[in-house]
Amino acid sequence: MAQKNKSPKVVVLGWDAADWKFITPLLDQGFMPALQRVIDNGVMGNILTLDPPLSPILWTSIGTGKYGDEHGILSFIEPDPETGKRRPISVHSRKVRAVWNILTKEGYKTHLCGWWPSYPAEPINGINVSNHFADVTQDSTPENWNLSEMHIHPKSEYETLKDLRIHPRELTWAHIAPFVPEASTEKLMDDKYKELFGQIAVTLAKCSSFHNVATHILETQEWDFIGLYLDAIDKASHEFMKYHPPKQKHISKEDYDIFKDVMKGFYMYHDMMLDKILELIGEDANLIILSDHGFYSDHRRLEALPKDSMAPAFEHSPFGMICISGPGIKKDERIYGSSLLDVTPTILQLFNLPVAKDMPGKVLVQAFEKTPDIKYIDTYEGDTEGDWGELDPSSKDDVWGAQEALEQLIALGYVEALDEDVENMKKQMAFENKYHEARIKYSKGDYDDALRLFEELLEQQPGSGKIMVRLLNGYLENKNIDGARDVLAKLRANFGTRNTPYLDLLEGKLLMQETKPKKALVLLNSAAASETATAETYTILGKNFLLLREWAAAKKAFKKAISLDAENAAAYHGMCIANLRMGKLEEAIECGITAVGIRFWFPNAHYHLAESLLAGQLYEHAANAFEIALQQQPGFGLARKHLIEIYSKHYKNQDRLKHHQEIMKTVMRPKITIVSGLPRSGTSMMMQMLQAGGMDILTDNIRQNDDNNPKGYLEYEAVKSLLKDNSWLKDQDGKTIKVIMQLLGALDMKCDYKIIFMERDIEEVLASQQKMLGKDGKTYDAKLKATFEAQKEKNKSWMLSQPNIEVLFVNYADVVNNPQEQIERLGIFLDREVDKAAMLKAVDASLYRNKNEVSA
Amino acid sequence: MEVFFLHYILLYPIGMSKKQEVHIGELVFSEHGSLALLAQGASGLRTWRKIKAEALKKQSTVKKKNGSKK
Repeated sequence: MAQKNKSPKVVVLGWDAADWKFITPLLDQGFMPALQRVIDNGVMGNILTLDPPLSPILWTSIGTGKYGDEHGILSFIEPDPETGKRRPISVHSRKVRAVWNILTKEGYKTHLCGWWPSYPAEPINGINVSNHFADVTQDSTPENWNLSEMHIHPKSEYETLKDLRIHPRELTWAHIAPFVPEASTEKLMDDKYKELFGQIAVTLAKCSSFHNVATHILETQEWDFIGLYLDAIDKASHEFMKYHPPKQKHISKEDYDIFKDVMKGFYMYHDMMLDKILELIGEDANLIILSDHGFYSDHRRLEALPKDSMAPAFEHSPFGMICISGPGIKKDERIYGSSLLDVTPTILQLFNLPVAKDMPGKVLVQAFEKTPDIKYIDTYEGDTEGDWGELDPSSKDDVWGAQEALEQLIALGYVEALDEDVENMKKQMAFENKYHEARIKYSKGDYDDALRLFEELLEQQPGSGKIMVRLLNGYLENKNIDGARDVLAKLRANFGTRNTPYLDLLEGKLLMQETKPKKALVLLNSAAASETATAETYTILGKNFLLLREWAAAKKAFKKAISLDAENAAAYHGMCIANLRMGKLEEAIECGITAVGIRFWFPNAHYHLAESLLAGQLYEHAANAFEIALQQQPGFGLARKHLIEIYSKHYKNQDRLKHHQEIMKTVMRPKITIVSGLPRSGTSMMMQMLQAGGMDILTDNIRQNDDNNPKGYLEYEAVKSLLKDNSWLKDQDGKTIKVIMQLLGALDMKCDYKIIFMERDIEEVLASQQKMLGKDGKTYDAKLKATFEAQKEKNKSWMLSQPNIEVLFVNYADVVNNPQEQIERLGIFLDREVDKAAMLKAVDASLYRNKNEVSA
Repeated sequence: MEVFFLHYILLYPIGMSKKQEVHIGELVFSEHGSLALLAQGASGLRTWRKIKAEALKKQSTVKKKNGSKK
């Protein structure tokens, strides 16, 4: 590998689970002065974690810029290829190159300390010590503390680096006492506390060992890049956050007094280590400090963890911390919208290397003083030329020397202690990996793949509640209402008596998806009244009130959600909408700003913030917010329409106006409302209702009303020839058109459609058709019935799979029997004000005669 | 933990009283404390190990002297 003479220098410091919520008060009190210097000389912000929030998956995403289903690290453990038994996850499971491989290939002096996972140590162009380098077992001592050579690269550094480990038993009370200032020596000898004091020692010793290696590298080696990962804040948080002030009811006064300062101590100790790192790296280096997720330190701390393989991750909060400083980086500013996937592209940019197009993240350009000129390549994978610092694939059968690491994972609750039945272990590992992969795919929006995996998992464990809940939410996302109902029935059958409020919440979501907010309200109110109601419960309740246009009630529900979770961006977004609709613009703007401050990648929140600013005539700010909404969701047509209006009338900007108008011409798609269904399923009645409600109906009135349809068909002749010519549809933006079910496939897919699909008992439909043809309504061809039913199912599934089609299923009998409710649903679905009273009048119950004829 | 306790006894005689080990709850860690030395990384570790070795040696000498008086 070629050496670079002069190069940028980058240090990435990973503080697992570090959280601004904990750090900010310490900064305010002056307890983290080193971090304060980094913040003052750089940028800071939240960084959004990925799902599932498990450290090996997350830190590999940080180091590779890829999602877990691509990089291959899916769990804490992997099967040993020789024995089939479990072993801690290793580099062998990683399927893609990490940034240290790329930098090695480019000839940079690249060092890595403790990254998860990094065993066996890859032969990069510098020092590499594995994440299990400083692990200890219960019975190990400083004297018998062995270390396999596989933990260290290069081997020539083995003796030096081995001595830089500090064993927990080497530590003294002088090291431990600052973390537990109220503990007396009597307590130290108390069996009850021995283990907890031991935990402090183990955690402190491990992070200090890696810190020792990093400082050794900085003091003695050439370096261009150093990645240092410390897990101490995460480990300590899982064990000691429960004792952090304010005192929780279930913690005894005695325990609280002893351990209440442990977390504060670990954060301060990290600052002390950072101080040394800053001294050694100087001012010519870029420093990135980040965590992979946050950690709840307030009322959201859990009293007990559920029995689940991912239980400890329930304590993780979704936002980690990031700050970046050094040459070319802005000073004392905030950055927004960072994701773990952005770290590798940003490191590559700092080295002026191209970003790979197969990395889903982005360069954090907001952090740079000058907008960087980003270069791209397709991928860093596949190229076998040169030295990438990778392991020899044939070395996959290395003897694993870190059984202690597995013991630690079991003790922490991340890995279940299993019997030694190899087949069972294999099955369990495969199940967990598939579960994590499914969650990753779901979080990426690959719903079809995620649902396929969840369905397979449910087949393997038919009674698994967690899989059922994931599947139900996936079906809702995919608008598969029938599938969601089936799963809900299974959940009710299996868990109904124990989890009624949660199941009510899920059914409420399902009813909202069906545009039945009044029915949903009953269940959501019941869920909210339970003791187990969470911020999520009140957020969903608030959203349902938004559907019902009950703004004050929505606001109340969102307020409650925020009182339970102050970082609930969705609740602030809901509050913004409710305030906007109530005309409380200042409050709307404030809530909108808070929502996007918490979660920047949130196009709808930017949009409603912009709407609020526009209503307040703050045109420049409104334009900025609409622009961001469009950047995040380029197809956001309404945002573009508003921008054209602002730039042409209020905040005049010819360049931007022209830009958006040109895109509008090429990108904007006509939006058309379609009423469909089988002939005689109530489509004409629906057209009449929509006409009465104020919708713009496309009809040429060629087909006149008759005895079968005394109020008119409201059809358009050209629809009959859609199969031959659909080119006229693109000119019908904003129109409502009747198209029978059999012709839906001929729609021009360059338009967006809202389809109101009428459903009616097939026998009633056939009887009505027979009668219309002058035949006996009581007899019809059974084959015809089967054909229609098959066509209907095929059409339904086709509609639901089209990205440009939204569907509302409306039952004809429901319209006749309970028109108010259906009109309510139509208003919500069409997302516009409609004349509900006029629509009600248009429903003529006498049209329902065919049912009586059949049943008579 | 017995090991920690032993070191607690060993280290205080070499100039670090419990008072000097400033409590987190009150202020910052002592600049000269063992923990601060640990935070110095590789060089701090080497220094601390040297201090500890000297303390152990001194302790051993005191024990020997006490033993000889008896």
